[in-house]
This record gives sequence, structure tokens and C-alpha cells, in this order.
Amino acid sequence: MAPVLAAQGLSVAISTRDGRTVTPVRNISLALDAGETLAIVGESGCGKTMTCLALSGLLPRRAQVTATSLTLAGEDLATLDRRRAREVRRQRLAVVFQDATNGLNPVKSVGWQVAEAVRLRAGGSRAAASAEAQRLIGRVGLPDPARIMRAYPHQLSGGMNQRAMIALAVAGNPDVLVADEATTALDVTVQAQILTLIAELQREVGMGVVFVTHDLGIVAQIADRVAVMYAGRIVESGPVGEIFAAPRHPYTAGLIASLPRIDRRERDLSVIEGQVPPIDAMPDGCAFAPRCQRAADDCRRTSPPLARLGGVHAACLHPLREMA
Amino acid sequence: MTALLTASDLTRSFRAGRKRMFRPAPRFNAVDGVDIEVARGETLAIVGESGCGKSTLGTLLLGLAEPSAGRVLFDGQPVRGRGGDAWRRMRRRIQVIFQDTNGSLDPRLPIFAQVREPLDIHRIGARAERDARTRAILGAVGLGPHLWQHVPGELSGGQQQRVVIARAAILEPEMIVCDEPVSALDVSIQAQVLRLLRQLQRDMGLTMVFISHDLAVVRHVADRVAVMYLGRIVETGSAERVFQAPQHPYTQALLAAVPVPDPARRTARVLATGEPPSPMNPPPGCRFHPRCPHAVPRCRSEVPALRPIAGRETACHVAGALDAEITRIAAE
Repeated sequence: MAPVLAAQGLSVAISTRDGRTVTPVRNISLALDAGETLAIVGESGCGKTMTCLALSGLLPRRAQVTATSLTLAGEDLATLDRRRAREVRRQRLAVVFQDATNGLNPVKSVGWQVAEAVRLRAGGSRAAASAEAQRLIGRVGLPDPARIMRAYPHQLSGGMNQRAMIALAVAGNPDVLVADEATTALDVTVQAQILTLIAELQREVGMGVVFVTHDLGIVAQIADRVAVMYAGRIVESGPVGEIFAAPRHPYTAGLIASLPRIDRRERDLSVIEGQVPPIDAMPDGCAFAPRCQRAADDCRRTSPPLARLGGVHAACLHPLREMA
Repeated sequence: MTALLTASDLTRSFRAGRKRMFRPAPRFNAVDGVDIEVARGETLAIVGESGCGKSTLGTLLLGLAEPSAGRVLFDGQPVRGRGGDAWRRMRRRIQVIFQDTNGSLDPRLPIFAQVREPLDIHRIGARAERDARTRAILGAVGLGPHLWQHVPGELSGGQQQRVVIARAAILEPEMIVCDEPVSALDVSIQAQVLRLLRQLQRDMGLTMVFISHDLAVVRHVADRVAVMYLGRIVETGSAERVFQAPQHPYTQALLAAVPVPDPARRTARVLATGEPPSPMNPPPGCRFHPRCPHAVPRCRSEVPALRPIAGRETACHVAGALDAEITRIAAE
């Protein structure tokens, strides 16, 4: 089965005001099957949101997106003209962001906005779209859908707006849902509700989900596969079970070990020393080498390619568990 | 165990809305009748979701705000002492670390001068001694000499938080109140800062009040924990007891909702429906009852008081019965 969303050699380059070029995303490849959840995880500045915006076609023209191929539901967006590519994305792909309250239009009622999304994806009459909007608003768990239809975003809480945003996203059954830190702004009890809702809708609609997050707990709970990003590159990717049980890249291993745990008490956290290099001063070779305890001379010269290692792919010259 | 900090029946109310003629403005209690004790050398964590009053409680414990009722004693003295001298003496003994480093640091003052400033204000030691202490504390928090003449804007978020910590620690206070000190930081930087806080606590014998919404971080740092919901403490006790076997249905819901970073244990569950109601208009009786899966009619009318259940204090009418039920199921 062909993946519903696939990117080969995706890069994003942005020219700065002083004439230089920075590349927040460098030559990454992704594939997402229908019904599957792919988590993109990494710390601030790793390029996960830029990747998400590039896949969704939401970057401004100033940012140059290049890809060997970028297919969505069987169509290669890299070869289509801008207008046609936008049309394919509008039909097939939906996005949910962190800040739903500002993501919604403040001067239109929630019902109007969801109905518009229905009409854009599925067409049909205004009345039919409105009825479908009310069904969706009930489906995402908002109480009293008829009242919520007439409400404006400022009258709802952050959690309710995020539910409205999800109703808007799943209108017309898209093939792919891109969720960028969709639950980060929510309290933990509400976050659990929203994650459950997304998983239910995913099963009902059969859509693939790209879930971008910094929270490894969420990744472990919802993802089928994981891509770990560091300094604009994917450093490790594979099935969620293997990534957590036996990470190959020292960054992935360090990230998991530095996490305070809710399920057990750990007196001392393991710590990754140092910090991410600034985007305009990336070192030669592996970008993680300056923080890596396993780094050798070759790491500072050669940028390691993503290579198959057991069940996962890792971009590291001296991966963990080499003998295994 | 003697308490270093004691707060009794602490309440802080705010005006909600406009004053009308012949009628006082409506008020609500962001903190509502809270009792807290912190023993010397321990870390008490105050946890809860947004709007539960944990930060307001923090400002009351620090003496930065006047409580509407109740009082806070630090080592037997009121934390809001009368007169500039008493206030200043108290500031030397209690320090604070906030999440927002931008708001805590002077954007134009170089790091070195910024960290030395508390010594200047309190006129501690001669100039050379102040400089020596500043160098020592900057070294202790891991900020090298190449950064000392930089201004905060030139530092990363993690480095800025180290400056804030150095500034708080340089007076060698007895207690530090940390309000979400690592919430703005990435995981790898968060681990570095948590390690630093722990080192300082060990080396200086610090007492800490750690305010956070992040339960995993709290489990890592806390000796004791107080769980807040809409202005009240619903459960408090040793961190191990509370995390291993929470008794209050809200604590249970909170802990069950935290995603565990282990794909072999997909256990995150939804135990509380809906969202916290507005603190302006809290429900009567137990404030958690509209979301509680175990609520009985009594919960709607009668406010539950904290009472000892299973080795900690819980404010719940049904918690003891729940405990008995769990014991019964476990025995089967």
C-alpha cells in the first residue's frame, strides 16, 4: 500500500535580512500510511514545526521548500503548480495548531467556521453543511451543539476551542491530519480527553496523523512510528516500541534518560550537557557531536547519513548497541 | 520536625466584576482557607492545573501579597514584617525563582553585576568580597567567565534561568519558592536545571516550595506534595504515598491523565470529564463534584474537610470508602 503522505529529501531554506541563508530543515524523508500515527519529536528549534508547515504548504514564499518528491494521496505536490497543490492540500490535509483560540476566526461563529470547512472539502448546500457542522460539533464532545454553533471563540475555553478546531479539521474526512503541539496549551486532564478524541476520530475516518510534539510521554502513548529531530535533521526513526526500548542514537537515548518519570521516582536524572547549536552556526559533521559523549574525530568531520540499524534508522557513526 | 514556614487558614480574594450601587462588588477566593507547613530542609510541591490558585498561594507564602484572611509565619515571625528593615531582613532569608526569566532580570545589566546586586542592596561585605562571592556562585551554577559581561538577552533560556538561580542563591537564603522554574525549558535543559537546584539544596540545606503543573517533575523533586483544585488543597502528604496510591478522585484523575513515556504501558486514562469550572463561580460543596466519577449527593452540598486517610490528608467524603473498596479488590 502506498503511503498517504510521503516526503523525500525535504528541505526548508530561509534568507535572512543580512543576505545569508539558514536551513531549519535539512534533507528529511517521511512516510505516513493511512490510519497510522507518526510522531515528530524534538526540542525547540529542531525544525519540527517548520517540517509541519512545509508539509501543510503554509510557509510564506520567502521560505524555500525543496523536495525530491512530496506526495499526498497519490499526487506529487512537488510537480504541481502552486494553485493546484493548494487545492489538493485543501481537500486532503487538515492542520490543528497549539493555539486554537487564535487559530479560529474571532468575528465568525464557531458553527459558521465548521460549516465553511465542510463546504470547502465536501461541497453541498449551506443547509446540509450547517447540519453536518452541528453533527461534528456534537461528535467532538462539545455540550449543547446548537448553542455552540452560535458561539464565538472568545466565549469558549481553550479546551473547547481546541475541540472546535478538531471539528473543523475533520470536516469532510481528510486523509491526513497534521497536529502541531495540539495539546501543549491544555491542562493535563483536558489533554487526555483531546488525545482520546483524536484517536477515536482517526479510527472512524481512517486518516493518517502527523503529531508534532516535544512531549515524549505523548509520543509513547499515541504514536505508531517516531521521527526524532535534532538541529533540522531526523537523527532516528522507527517503530515507537523499538525507539523507546532500544534507542540507537545517543541523542534519543539521552532525551529519554533525562525525562522525569511519573511512573517511578528517580533520584538523579541523566543529563545531556550543553545546548543546541544556533541555527546559523551549525558545526561541521554531526550537529550533536559537541554534546555527545560518544563523539570521536570522525563525527566532527562527517555528517552521518540515516542508515538502517536493526528495526530503526539512525544517523550516527557510533550508535548505541552496535553489537546487537 | 519543626516547621520553618507555617500558613494557617490562608485566603486571598479578588474582585470579580464591577461594584454596583448599594451592593459590594462580587468577590471570589483564588486561595480559600489553605493550611500549609514546610519543615526545614524539605521540598514541598504545590501542584494543580491552571487557575487552581497555586501561584497566588506562592505570592502569599513569599509575603508579596497581603492575605485577605489568615497569616504566614516564617521561623515564628510574620512574613510581611512591618517597616523596611524587617522586610529587608525577611528578603535575605526567603528568595524566589519564577518561570519568566525575562521578567526577573534587568535586560541592560551585565550578568556579573546582576548576580552581585543582592549583595549590594543588602550591603554585605566589602567590594572585593562581593566580587569573590559572585564569582563563586556563578561557577556553582555553571556560568563560565566568558558569559559574565553579557546581558541576559544574549543568553539562552537555560542560561538565563541559571542567572536567576544564582541571584536567588547568592544571599544564602533559608528558603526558596520556585514557581514553575523549569516549565519554559526543553527537556534536556530542564534536566540540567533540576540537577542544579538539587545540588544547591543539598549544599546549602535549603528549604523549597516548588510550584508546578508538571507532575513528573514534582515526583522527581518533592518530599511532600499538596494538590490544589479551585483554591483549596484536596490532598496532601508524602510524595511517595500520594503518587503511588492517590486517594482523592481529582488526584487520581490528574495522575491517570499524565502520559507515561513508555509505549509498553499505554495507561493514560480519562477519569475526569469536562473542564475545571471558572474560579469566579465555583460549585457548592466539594468543588470537584461536577467532574467526579464517584460523587454522591452529599458532595453537592457539604464542603469536605481534610482528614487523615491512608497516611495522608484528603478532602473527600467518599475517599475512605474508596480506599476500603480498593483494599477489598486487592485482597480478592
